[in-house]
Amino acid sequence: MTAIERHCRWLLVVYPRWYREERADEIVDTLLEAAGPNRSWPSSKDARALILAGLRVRAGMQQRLTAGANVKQALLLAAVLLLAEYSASDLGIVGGEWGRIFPSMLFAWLNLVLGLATLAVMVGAWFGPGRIVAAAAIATACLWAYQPSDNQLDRAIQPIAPLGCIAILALRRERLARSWLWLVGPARTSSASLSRGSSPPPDSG
Amino acid sequence: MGEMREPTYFVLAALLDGPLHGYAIIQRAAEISDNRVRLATGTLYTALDRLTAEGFVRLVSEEVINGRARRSYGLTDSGAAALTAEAARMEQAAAVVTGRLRHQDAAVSRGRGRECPA
Repeated sequence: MTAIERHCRWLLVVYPRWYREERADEIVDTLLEAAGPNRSWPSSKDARALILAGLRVRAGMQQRLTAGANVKQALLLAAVLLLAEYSASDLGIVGGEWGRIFPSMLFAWLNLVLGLATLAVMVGAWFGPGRIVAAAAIATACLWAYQPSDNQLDRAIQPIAPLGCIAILALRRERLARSWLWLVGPARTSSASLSRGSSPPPDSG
Repeated sequence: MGEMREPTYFVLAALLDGPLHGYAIIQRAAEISDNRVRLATGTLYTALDRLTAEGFVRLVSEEVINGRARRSYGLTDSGAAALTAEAARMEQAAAVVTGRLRHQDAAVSRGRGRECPA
């Protein structure tokens, strides 16, 4: 592999993997022809345009979605954002107040499992096979429904709606854009759980 | 499709004479635009992805050159129709200006004719 081809492929990393698998050879071929002989890098114009084009693909900007797919994507994003709060609540509690709130370690583990399962559904909803995602969402909703403490009934029931929404959306056939939107859930969960974990505990009286 | 951007117009126009591969499209677009439109590779593939999704361009052939895939793209009927419609729109827009300028030139010439007695 020549130096210029290596540099072209290095620049192509800005594109998502699925796109590179499909088009990298073809784009490299065009870049090499455009660069001409005795060059070790593509032109700055080509490099700039490649980076911008790659970012556009990653952002899903070049994908024209059907109206149904747009609605599905918007609903999924809303459900994920809502779930991130509950997932963060569980993970934040487990991380920041381990052993203080829970009367037994079983509850702490349950919250940890719930938080992680919810997070997995939030990420899987963007990629996973429909039936598996739907089954995982329903299983997680059942876990949420099993809340051992009566005073947490609201907290137990509220996540079931967005999880049900994800289960229904997962079974629909509209194809989503391949984009970085899946990162929204984990990012929101991380920031919210960190802030909850680091917040001072309420007065115990 | 609304108004076509210039690079898109020249990508489609480059394919009027038959299917071309990526770099040949860049060269042809530069040639027919008197080197005004010099497409960057990233811009070309963004345009090709969009035009393929819109059904204006289609993948015609794929061959392996120097161990790398080389794909050729061709204009579809709807791509040719969109290009023709855009050309007609631009022609009409140009006619508004060129017609007015011709009218003014003629008026100026008539005025000069009156000022200069035989």
